[in-house]
Amino acid sequence: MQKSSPDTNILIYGIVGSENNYQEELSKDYLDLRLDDSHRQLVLQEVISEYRRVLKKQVGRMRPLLRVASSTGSFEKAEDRCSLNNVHENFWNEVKRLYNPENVQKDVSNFKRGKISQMQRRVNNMTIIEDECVLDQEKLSMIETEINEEKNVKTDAIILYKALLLSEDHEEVILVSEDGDIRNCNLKELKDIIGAGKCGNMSIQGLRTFF
Amino acid sequence: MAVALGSTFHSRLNTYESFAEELGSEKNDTDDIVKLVYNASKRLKEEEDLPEEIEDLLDFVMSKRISLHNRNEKTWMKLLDKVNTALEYIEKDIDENIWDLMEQDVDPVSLEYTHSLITRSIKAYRDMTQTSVDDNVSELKENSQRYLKGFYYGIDRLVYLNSYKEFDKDELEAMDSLETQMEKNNHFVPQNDEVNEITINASLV
Repeated sequence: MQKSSPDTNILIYGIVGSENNYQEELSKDYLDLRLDDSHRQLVLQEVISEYRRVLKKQVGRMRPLLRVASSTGSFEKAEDRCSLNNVHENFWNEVKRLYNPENVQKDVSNFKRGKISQMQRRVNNMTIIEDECVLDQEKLSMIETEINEEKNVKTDAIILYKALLLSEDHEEVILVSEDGDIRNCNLKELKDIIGAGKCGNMSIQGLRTFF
Repeated sequence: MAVALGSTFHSRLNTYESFAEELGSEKNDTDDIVKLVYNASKRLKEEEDLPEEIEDLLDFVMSKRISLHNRNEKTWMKLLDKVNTALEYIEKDIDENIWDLMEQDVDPVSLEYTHSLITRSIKAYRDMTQTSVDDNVSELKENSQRYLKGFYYGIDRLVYLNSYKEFDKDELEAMDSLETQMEKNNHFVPQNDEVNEITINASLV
């Protein structure tokens, strides 16, 4: 199985919008990297929960508009009667382009279901790979120790560790966190840390920059 | 399939709550769908304006109890069919009318989470019973319980939302988590949500 990136989590910030511009900029940066053939990155992320949250939030915020559009048969009337403040412009414009106002309530529900199913299949594929990872608790603990002043240490350590186990010949991976943050991680240095049982050639400060 | 004209969505919601509670509540210590529906029949028998699809299911269980008890395969399959028809009716009704609650100032994002959980669990149950009849029975039971619980919880939360208007962050996460757990089952493969290849803003991909 190809160990490609389940990159949809970061894509959604470009597709359905995000809470802030920072995430969208990250999305664009990430896509630029992905489109560059000179990079062979492995991206690990916890995708499904964030995907659902963003999708539901964005669709939920559009519901008042969708409801008026359905009842009046007009997107323009919906825009006149409802606020567009909390609705991501890109998402709203694409919905208008893709669907007829009369059926848009149902169409968007189907769209949401379809996208979640699609995501689920991708995540299932990734889960199979992750299940193959056997995490050595002692080594995991070493990584945790190095980052023990960070929040959510355990999760981050597991992600780092899985990146290492799944990376094979990759020397560098890009980690995408649930909040859309993107960091480079040098796996060789990480291997040194675990292999030596200490910090190896990397300072603690250096490791912290991964997160 | 038309939604009953003689009743309001609010009154149907109360019916769905009773129905869902019998099918998916933790208080039930059985996974026997016959017993679950039978209990629902007893609870709802006095109710007026029952949707036709639900009434048909309840009548069927009451009239075919012996065949169902003896696990007559044909009757059993008919029962699953009628359960699915009733759930399909509820799914459609929720799908079409849940958004009207926004008129009572119910938060649309909370509705979105609730809608997603209810319709997803119903769909998962229907897909499973329509495609997995030859599979391992214990797995089938375990999964059906999971989906019916999701259905019950979603309806329960919708009734709550109708009164309290909005969920807090923890509640939204709980609903999201339940939906995720439901779908983590490896045997669940969405049947009708074919890959929706419509990609919004395709230039990004």
